[in-house]
Amino acid sequence: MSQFLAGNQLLINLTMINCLLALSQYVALRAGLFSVATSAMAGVGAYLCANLVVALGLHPAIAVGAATLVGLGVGLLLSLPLSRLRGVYQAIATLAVCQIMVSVALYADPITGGANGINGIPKSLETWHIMLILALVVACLFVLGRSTTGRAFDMIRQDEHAAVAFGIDVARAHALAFAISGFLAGLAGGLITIHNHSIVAEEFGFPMLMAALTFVVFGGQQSLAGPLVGAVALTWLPELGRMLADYRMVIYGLILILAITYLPRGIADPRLVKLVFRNRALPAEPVEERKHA
Amino acid sequence: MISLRALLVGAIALTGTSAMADEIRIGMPLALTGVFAFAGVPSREGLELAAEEVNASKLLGDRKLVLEVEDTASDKTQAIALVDRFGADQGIVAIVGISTSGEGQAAAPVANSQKVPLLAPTALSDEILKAGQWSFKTSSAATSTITAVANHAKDKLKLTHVAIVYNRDNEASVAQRNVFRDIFKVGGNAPTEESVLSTDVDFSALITKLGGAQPEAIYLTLPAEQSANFIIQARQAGLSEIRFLCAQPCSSVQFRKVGGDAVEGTIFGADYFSGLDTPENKAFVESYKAKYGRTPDNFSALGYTAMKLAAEALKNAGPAATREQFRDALAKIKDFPVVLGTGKFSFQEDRSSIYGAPVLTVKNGEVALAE
Amino acid sequence: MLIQQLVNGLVTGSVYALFSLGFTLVFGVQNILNLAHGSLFMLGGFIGLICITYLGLPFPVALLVAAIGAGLASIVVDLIAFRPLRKRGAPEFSAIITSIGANLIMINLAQRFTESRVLRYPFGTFPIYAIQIAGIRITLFQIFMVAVCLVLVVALVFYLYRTRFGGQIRAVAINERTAGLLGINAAIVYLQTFFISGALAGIAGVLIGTAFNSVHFLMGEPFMLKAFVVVVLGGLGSIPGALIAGMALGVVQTLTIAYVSTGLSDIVIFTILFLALVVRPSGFFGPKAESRRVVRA
Repeated sequence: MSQFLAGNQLLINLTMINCLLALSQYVALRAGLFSVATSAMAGVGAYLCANLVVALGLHPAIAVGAATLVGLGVGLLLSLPLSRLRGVYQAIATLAVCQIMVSVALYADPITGGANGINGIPKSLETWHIMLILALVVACLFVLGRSTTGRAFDMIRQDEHAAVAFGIDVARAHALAFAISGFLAGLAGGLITIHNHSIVAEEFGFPMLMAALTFVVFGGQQSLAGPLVGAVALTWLPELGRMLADYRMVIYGLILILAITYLPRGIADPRLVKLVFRNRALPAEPVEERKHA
Repeated sequence: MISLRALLVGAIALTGTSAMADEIRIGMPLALTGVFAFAGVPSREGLELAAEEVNASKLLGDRKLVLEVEDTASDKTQAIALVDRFGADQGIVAIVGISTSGEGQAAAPVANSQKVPLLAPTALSDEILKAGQWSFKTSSAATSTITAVANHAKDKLKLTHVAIVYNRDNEASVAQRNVFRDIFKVGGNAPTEESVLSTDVDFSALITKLGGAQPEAIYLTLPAEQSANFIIQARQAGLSEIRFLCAQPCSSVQFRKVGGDAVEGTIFGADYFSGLDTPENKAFVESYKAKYGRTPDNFSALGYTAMKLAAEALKNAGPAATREQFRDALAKIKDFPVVLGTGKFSFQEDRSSIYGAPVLTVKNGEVALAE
Repeated sequence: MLIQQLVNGLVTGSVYALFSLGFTLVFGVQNILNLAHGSLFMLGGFIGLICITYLGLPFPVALLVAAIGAGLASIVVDLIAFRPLRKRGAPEFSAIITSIGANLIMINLAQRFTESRVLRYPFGTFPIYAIQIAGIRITLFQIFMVAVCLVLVVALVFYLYRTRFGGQIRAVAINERTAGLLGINAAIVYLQTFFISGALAGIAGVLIGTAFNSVHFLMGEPFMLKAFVVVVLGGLGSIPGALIAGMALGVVQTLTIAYVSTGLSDIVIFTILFLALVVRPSGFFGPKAESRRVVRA
């Protein structure tokens, strides 16, 4: 077992970072925002962190902190124009933001290293660091989810007109959701930077965008467990499928289609969990049930 | 496809026991699928051919080379994970793999922290060497082949007005641009620079723009098919007078196949010229053709050379070589006969490699030495 | 040179428009962003290639076969990725995910079959002939592409607005339920829509593959990004909009490359997209009210 852990440490770290990305996407979707800006915000955070560490020699913790705050800032900034849009238009707008970010990263050679990216970043991240951060984040989000804000998000997502009728300030709630999403994305971006020795523009483009979205959709949007389960499952799937390596992506695509069609609430659907546990002889553990439409 | 034997050895590795005493396990992460498979696949062929020859000739006595081939799928993260895994497995003596500069830049630091020797057959970037003393690359710095072409253009062809077209989203391409530009502008004529994306296919706007500027030559640091495509469109747009200088991938058959008549007369440098007149190379070309049914290209030759270098290092390091001994033996290799360049390979003090670089051209559909 | 660049821009633009036609049609009728559209385009390119290299068919026939092939593939994508969702009343969001899945599958199967190589149409597929008028140089193929694009746009508009089938499509686009009450079989309408969309993509694939000497498994992806810009600017669901926005995009891109910088062209295009969404999401011709405050299930 310890051999397994040692040999796969990178993968474990990557999984946890993916969890953060998934959570960032989850918060946005939970509040009814069809935003896929997670990867763009992560990218901005990552480049800032890399520059701070390499060019200015700042301590990684400070750099990551800065990345997180910048992510939050970008999120807030995006919320201004984007909160007026809905549905597919919002998605396309955030997609455009992602494209712009990658293109600027390729173009602005002096700051971003262009195609080379930024290299030679000392690796200063331990597994337990990430674990601690992730645990904290999950705890905070859990509390948030059950608070008034969380309920406001749920309401806006389900029926915006009703939410407005209830007096919920939709614009403010959206801004908050974007900010939190950005915070998490920036954090993930910073962690990626001090973990990977180097960052390249393409990392923060389409593949990451799709990955974050897929984690949440596959895992489920109904509860906090969803994005986490999705991130773990989909990060490890290509590894386990190494035998079928050639057709890995085909299987990935198939899973996406089958999962969304037949398990639209994702695999970490609380109702599904309850169904499974119901038949156990031992008293079932109380499962969090969220009231959703 | 991973052979049953490799699977078995891999399974044993997972449980942490060491390899059988007469086997030397080499980790081999390559880009066998994905966008960089054009480099990974031929390099694998070269690597495997060389390993077979080494085993058959008993160069290492009773010990046999066992290659554990894995696919990075042209993905940096996978490359890092594989290098990390091979590095953690103490039964692996060395890693001969990693296909691209991008993968190399990311994976070399990992190899160094794991203290496992890494010899990248086809990756170009100098960052690999800068990562630490454990990482090597077979390919000479981008400088070598590009220097040859740049000097040829400046001195032999007496060109003064040149434009460079490069991929702004590919680190190797950018590095090549830098090298060419720095050498060329020494004469006082800084080349103009234009960028495209590696996914671009429509160059009409750029070609018209360049057509307006009328350079004497255009240097393309693009992959083979994209270069060929560019040249075809340029000719179709009426730019028949401009000479084209291309990068090393254009020494491949693919370039001539895709480009057809349009690429006659283009000039490029290469690590490898299949017409090199040495017994080593003649034998290599014959065995490669016999085994794989075609002439070896740049990447096959690099792979073949990498494995030969590794075998030489293993021989010199002696039986039961440790990772350190392998690394030191590898770094000491000088004037070793290879099929690359002009025939002799040496590692320098800073672990960079030199082996000479022929300047080639396309003549009547075949590769020939440029005048 | 400016005129030459404008001509370049219009040719490039008509290509973008052609690609985006099918994409915007599907959105107009079904409210789905079919992210597998790029793969259908790629598939068309490959089918055409197979027809010409292995079956020795002449170019026009290959074009037709590619169109039909891609159209059928499109129907298959619908049956696997979208129809089950429709039956379950899933939100539009799910359809985007399944289309991503379908896209991944098609791209990777193509990658396996071609071993990641970049293929090309054989020389002489289409006669290479350039015309020089008043200092402008344009090839026969470029004229052909623009012509095909215009013809298809006109044909599509005619089909939608002048034929019975077209009327049915538009009815279902407005409201599926009501159309059903009027006796229109929505299932057949959806099949038609996807077939047409795929066929258009397939034709575009053959044209692009021939024009730019390159057919490979990832060829659809850059076009998808441009398609977003085209359909938003032109209005999601609007055919004439796709044409005009496509042309405009082609010209803007070409002029940016020619007079500003090659590196900035992408940034400029996507910034325009972003601004358009913020200021006028419905584009030139799109539906005005629906872009904002859509209530989601």
